[in-house]
Amino acid sequence: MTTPTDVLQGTLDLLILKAISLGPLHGYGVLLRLQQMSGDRLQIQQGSLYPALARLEHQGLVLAEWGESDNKRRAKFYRLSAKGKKQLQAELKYWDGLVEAMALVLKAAPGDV
Amino acid sequence: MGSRLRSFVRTLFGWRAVEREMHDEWQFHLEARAADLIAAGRSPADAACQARREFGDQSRWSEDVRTVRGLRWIDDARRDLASAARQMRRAPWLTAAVVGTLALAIGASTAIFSVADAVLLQPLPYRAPGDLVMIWSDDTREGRPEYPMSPGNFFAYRQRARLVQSVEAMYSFLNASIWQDGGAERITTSGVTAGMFSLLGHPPLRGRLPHPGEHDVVVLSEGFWTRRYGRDAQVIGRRLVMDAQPVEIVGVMPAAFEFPFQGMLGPSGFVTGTKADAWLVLGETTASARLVDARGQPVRGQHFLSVVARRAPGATLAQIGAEADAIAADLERAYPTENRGLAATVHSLHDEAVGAARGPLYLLLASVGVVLLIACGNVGNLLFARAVARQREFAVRGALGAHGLRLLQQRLVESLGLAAISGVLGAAVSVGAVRVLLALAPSELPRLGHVTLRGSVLLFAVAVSLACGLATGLMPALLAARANLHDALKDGGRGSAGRPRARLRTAVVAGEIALAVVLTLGAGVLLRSFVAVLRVDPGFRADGLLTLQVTIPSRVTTPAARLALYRDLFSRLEGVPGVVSVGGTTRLPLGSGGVTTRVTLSGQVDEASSRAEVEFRRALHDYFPAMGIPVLRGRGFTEADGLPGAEPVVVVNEAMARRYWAGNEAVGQRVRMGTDPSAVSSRVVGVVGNVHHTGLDQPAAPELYISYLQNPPVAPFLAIRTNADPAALSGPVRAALRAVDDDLAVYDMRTMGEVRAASMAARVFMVTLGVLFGVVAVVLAAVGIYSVMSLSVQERAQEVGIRRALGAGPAEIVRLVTGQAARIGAAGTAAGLLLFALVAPALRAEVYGVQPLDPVTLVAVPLLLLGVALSGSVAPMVAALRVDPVTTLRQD
Repeated sequence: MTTPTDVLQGTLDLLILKAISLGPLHGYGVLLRLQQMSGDRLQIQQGSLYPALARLEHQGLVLAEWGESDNKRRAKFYRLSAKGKKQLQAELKYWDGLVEAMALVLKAAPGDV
Repeated sequence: MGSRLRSFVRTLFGWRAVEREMHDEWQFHLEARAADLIAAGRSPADAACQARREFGDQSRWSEDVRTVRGLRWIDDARRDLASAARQMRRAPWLTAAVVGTLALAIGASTAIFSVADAVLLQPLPYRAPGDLVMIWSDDTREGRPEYPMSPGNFFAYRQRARLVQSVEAMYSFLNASIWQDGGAERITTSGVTAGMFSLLGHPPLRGRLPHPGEHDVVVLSEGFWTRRYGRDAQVIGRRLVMDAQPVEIVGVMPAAFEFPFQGMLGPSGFVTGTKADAWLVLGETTASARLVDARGQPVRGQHFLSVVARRAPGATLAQIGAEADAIAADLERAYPTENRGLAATVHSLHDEAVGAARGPLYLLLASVGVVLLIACGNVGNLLFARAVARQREFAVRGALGAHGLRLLQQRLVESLGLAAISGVLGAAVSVGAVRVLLALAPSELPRLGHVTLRGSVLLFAVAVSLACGLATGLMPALLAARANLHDALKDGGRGSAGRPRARLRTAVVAGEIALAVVLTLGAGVLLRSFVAVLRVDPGFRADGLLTLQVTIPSRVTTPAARLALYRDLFSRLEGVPGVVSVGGTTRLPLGSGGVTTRVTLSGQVDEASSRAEVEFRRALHDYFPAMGIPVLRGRGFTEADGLPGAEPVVVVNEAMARRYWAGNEAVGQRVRMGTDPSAVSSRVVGVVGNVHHTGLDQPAAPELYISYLQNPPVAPFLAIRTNADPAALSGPVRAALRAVDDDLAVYDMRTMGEVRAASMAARVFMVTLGVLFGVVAVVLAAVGIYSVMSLSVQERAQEVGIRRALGAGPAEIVRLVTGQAARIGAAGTAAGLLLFALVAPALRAEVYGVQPLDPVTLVAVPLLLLGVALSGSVAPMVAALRVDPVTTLRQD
């Protein structure tokens, strides 16, 4: 088992958008899905999800409504808005570009330069 | 953007629900996590604990969520309000002082504003009143820019003017008698052309408005309809006789419809401060209305119409004025005799109606605003003193990372909270203050009936309270924000102000003194001019005089019968015990408007086109002796002037003799009254002293008297001189008049002292409020200097202690404290004098007999204020003398 990694500053929003792009989730659900998708390798301070969710809702990227959880409890569910879908695509593209560039720099051998 | 706004609005109005939802959501999270942990084998208690730990600091997340929603300040404000409330409860006296000062100042400003709002700002009760203008003849030769128009000129304007629409005219107020159901009543009417009502566009309360071209119809006012007819709807269509002319009642106008305003009547308004009981529609083509002569030609030689028009879309006042001047120039060429020297004047109707009240009301508004500023200065200083005492608290919070803006907000919430309470109390104060104002206000102030606490007034109160809250909160807040953290903490929390802040504090007090100086100087000048008016010799002896008005019965129609009635009346009044002499006149000085007559005088060039116009009265019986008006040259009227075939004679006042026969003897000259060149002229037999007729502060105008024996009036004023108390005479006088004729109407019985006092009501109003504001300003400034000096002595206790220990005597301490107070007082007074020199010209229209920069006031007021500054420092000085060197030195 690998050591959990702290979520990189500024990437939590992207992770949340990705997590709920796969289907509406409540806050705890977002946490579970992120842990599951990362193979428990991401360390997330659980409460910090909520300011991030509030920010995304405030920006109109996610929509929230109250519904019923699997165990018949009232829970607030988040889903992606049309604007959120666009934002997710843009961020994914940006992320891919960033990763590519980072990889090029970090993997460069002495002979490459 | 939309989602942000929605979320903002949602949090703003539903922040409790939002907060609850947030905690519900977290609760769900914690329970779900705990359930998962239990499923993994943890004990329930352990699981709940672990879930909370993993979740992290809830208060941090909730602050973050609020910050995200952009609404953290609401939450903070709530906390600040609670803290402010605690502060207020902890220092009840300070709170009471602050709230009391602000509430009085806000209440007074709101009250004055509500009057200014009703008189000046509320639209007049006409359709699109901003488009209404008044057109006058401008008599350039006699220097009368608002001279009434002749019917001929009025018709010409109506026909030729392109930049105005619907040109209509009115007579000034007239007293008319109506006869109905056997009884006669004097009412006040205004004659108007038929289109006037549709021009003004106010719907009637009952009945209808006159049709264009209609005449001999009358529209009643709601007041008269109620008073005389008990609101009987059946009066519509009824006929009555008005001044011997049958007319039909077609409608009733509601009380809100006020027309004309006194200011719209031009210089020859007949009656002062009266509202029209009825409007009589003039026939424009019938000779009875005096607009056309017997041959149907427009009357050109008499000028008596006030003209109202609506400006065409897009036309400016200047353009309308230029067009009116061009028409006037054409008319002068076409009718050189009647129109020589007549240009045109165009003013907005609003200016004519209420313009005269603008200067005094703005002056009062400015004065009360200054009082408000001084009050704010005091409150700011008080709050600042407290801020200094709490400096350490703020410094510690600053050191612990509280944001500067956050601390500013806390202070603002506190001062705004105080201002809000003061505002509510101030609104209550203003209700009472408005009542007092209305009781004090002179009746000639237009639209007083409209004064209420309407929306605009409440808005004003809210705005003023807000401004006070910001002003009083910002001063200490900004200073505290600048406070040096290190110094504050090092200071050991004794709360000294430090040099720059002490300087600002004294500057505020010096500013208060400067403003108080300005107000007091203004009040002083008003007071001095009031005294000057009181000292004016009215030209008659006002003491020991009883005045009243009578209307002789309508059945007494012939001049001979009227004279017989007057002879009986005067002999009976002379028989009343205590009566010295009795006379009468058609225009009572200070108690009625003037009426003028055109005259042609012997020895004058250019007779045909002369528009020499003089005040005109009849003198009844012993008028000059009864009033105490001296006969300077020649003689007064005698019984012989009433003999059959007697020569027509007149008496003139000195102003008329000087104006028209300067250098020559007036007695013996000849005068022809009216505009008919074939009329008989009269001989001047005497010159009497000048009388201030329209007001004590108004110059005496040229005046002409004729004897009642040569054409007796129907509704004269009587003047009864007594060597006893004139008020005590009213009963016996009424009895004597009843004995003359039961149908003799007697009204408006007042002593001349009351008449004179009423004529000064406007001045009393201004002086009372001016002096009141001045006194309040001085008291507030004294409190201001007291609080600043006390604080300063407190702060300098150690210095004083050291000085005492080093052998300084009480005299030196006194010098130290009073020296500072005197410096503040002198600086403030000097600034105030400069400021007053700048604003003094605005007072010019309000003062009489003194200059706005009156030397006596300019010396007295600064001395007063310096005295106030020093007296404000007495108590702090005593405190300084009591400082015990040992205690203060031991303190650290």
